[in-house]
Amino acid sequence: MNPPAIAIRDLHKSYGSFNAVNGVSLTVEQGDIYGFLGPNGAGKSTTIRMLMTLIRPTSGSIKVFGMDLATHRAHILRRIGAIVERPDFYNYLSARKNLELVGRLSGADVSKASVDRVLGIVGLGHRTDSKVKTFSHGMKQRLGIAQALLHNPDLIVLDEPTTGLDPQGMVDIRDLILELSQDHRKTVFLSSHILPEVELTANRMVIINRGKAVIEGSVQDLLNNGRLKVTIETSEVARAQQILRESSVGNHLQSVTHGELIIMLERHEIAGVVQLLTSHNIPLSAVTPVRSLEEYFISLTQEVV
Amino acid sequence: MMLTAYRVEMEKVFSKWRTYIGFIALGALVPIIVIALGIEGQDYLNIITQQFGSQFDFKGNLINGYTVAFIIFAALYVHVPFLITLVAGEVLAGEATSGTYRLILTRPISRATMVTAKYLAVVTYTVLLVLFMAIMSLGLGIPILGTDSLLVLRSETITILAGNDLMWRFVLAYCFAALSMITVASVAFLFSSLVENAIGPIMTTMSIIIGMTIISAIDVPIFDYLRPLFFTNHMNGWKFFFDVPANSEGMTYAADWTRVAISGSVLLLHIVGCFVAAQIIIRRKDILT
Amino acid sequence: MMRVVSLIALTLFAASAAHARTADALLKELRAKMTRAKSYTAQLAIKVDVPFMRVPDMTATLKHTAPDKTTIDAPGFAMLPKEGVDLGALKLLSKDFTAIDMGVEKSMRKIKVLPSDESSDIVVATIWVDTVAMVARKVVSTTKKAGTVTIDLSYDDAKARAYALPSFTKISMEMDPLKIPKSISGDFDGNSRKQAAKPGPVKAVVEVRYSKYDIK
Repeated sequence: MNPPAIAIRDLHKSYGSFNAVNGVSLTVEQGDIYGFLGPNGAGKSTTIRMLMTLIRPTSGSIKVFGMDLATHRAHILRRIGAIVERPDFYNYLSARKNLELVGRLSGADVSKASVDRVLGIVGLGHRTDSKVKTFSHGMKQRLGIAQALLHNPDLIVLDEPTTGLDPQGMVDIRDLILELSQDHRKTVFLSSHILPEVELTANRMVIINRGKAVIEGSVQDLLNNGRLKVTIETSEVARAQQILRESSVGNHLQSVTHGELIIMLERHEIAGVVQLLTSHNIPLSAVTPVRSLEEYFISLTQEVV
Repeated sequence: MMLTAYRVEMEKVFSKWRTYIGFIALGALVPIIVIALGIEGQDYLNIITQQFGSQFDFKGNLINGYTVAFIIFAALYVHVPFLITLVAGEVLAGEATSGTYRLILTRPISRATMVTAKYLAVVTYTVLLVLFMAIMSLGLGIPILGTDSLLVLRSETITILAGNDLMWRFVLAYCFAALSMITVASVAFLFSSLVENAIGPIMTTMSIIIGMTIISAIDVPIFDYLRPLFFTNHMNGWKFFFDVPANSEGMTYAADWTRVAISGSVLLLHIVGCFVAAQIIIRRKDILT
Repeated sequence: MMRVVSLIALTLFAASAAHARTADALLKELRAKMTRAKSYTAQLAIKVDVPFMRVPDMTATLKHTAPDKTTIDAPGFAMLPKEGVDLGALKLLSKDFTAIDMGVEKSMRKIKVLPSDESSDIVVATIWVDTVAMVARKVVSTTKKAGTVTIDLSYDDAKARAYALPSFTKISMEMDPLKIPKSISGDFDGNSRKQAAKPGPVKAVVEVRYSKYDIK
């Protein structure tokens, strides 16, 4: 049985009386694409910085591939590639030189071929010798991913990797993440505010808020809990609206537009609503339940508040 | 890993334009001074020859390569520290400013190794700068102006050192100068570990040096107790290699070894103290930039 | 009575006149001895002892060509007293002077010399002459520029002594204390009040050894 890629137990970080991280626990299995979600100020960056040994925890433990981070730091960091918040580089050096310098510190192959390969993967093959100060934010983001991949790590920590990228860039990165996981068996720890990105790539996730983990599990399972956003298409919108208003689920009516109503229902309520409407001879064209992770995320964090 | 880290730091230091300011400045200044003294250096000597000109005749080439190197040494010594702080003050704080602490401290390299590698890179730069000054001064002065005795002026004494008794003094004096400049670099390095902007350590270090130098120059009794504590006071220890104590048997190979040892020890203490303190600060630091 | 007094006065005057001539003749005899050599060279070893100076021992070569051309060359730096090294105090004997016999002191004739030339740097000099060896053993000169200079001479080299050339001279003079502005010396180590030299002139001594005379 392979040990987890990351096992965080009861992690705390305090600055005086302020608890930035207040008992976070999570487990990332090897091969996972793990979504790390939370609103601004939830403690995500602090947790990632503790994982990357930039910040010393107040208490708690972090194990990576079964090894204690505190005692096996160098060995562990050789197996991790990371972007921590905004990717910053030595602006007075070229992309190639930046990768060579940091790659040497990781024991990576910094040959011209290896560097060119990684820069090609992230779409910077045409700018290898340009100084980083001439790069746009998106290009720096790509370069950040390149430096995370250069030494062929087993675990890749990506903090907002698609920030500043154009839509095609976002697709490219999403595809890259999936390829790294599926084809190269990498574990990816993905922190993002772009929830659809997590929804489309992650298989497991945790949501943290105010320094605590609120919920953790597989994305699919989490999507099946709670209320779904159900779109009901009908030609008799006004009558359907009236009927639903008078029912027990009337408070969950979201919106009414020409030809469709949107209502938030728990899964088990869907059948009852369909039966209610059809019993009143409301013709239904379509009933489409969609679980939005964004709405789930917002609902969870608002409940906790 | 230390060697790799050191090489990486050296590449970074010598990829920045500010590193070359010192070399360019010295490269321009030293030839100008050599030529100017060669042309009009006799006026400089008149301050002493006038005092004794009625009683003594002076023969020989007193404006020679050694004299000029000595004058350059004394003149630039006050200003080279600024060139040192430009690099040393930026080496840690610059990583915070540019956000690249996150880039290097997430590598499998200990903070102690990273700090040591950076420090060694700064020391290397310092030594190279002093060596450059030495080569320019002696390397230009001797071929252009020749060699002869050296006239060392202090406020109340004059020492004349024979030409064949000078090269070893200059070698040791430049070594001591390197030690002094490493002390300056160490102070700037320490301040660089405390803050996240390079301007602070540079200005702070220079302010300390200027303040200590001013206090040392003011002849007030209370400052007599402070002076021995100032590392700037001991930075002038290179002059002791050109001092012959009154109780010396002969002058050849004579120098004020006691004061050299005292000043050298004080500077070494500062160097070690600053380096250790910087290590402790960086090791305990939460990287929030 | 008057005739006796006049006779006594005349006798004293004659005796005095005879004595003055003797001092003058003595110095001229000394000068003749010194000028016998048409030319000579000597190696000099110079040691300077001044309280506020540290100076290495120096070497130089003295070349003299009759009647009065003297040059001193040094391979490197040399600091030479203006008076005494080239026996300059005795140069005044080659010009007009008035000699005043001061009697005998320590078995030597003590003679005061007053240069006739008002432009001479030496105002007055006192020479102690060893009448047996016919050499000058000590010269004390009062000069306009250099103050009072005392020269003690020794003659260990028999051959050189025949020309009244010394083997060793010790030149003593007074000098004002050194004053170098701190802006020149760069000496800001402080404590200048504690280290302040005692006020007043200091005594400087220069020792010169003459060797390897080549006298022609």
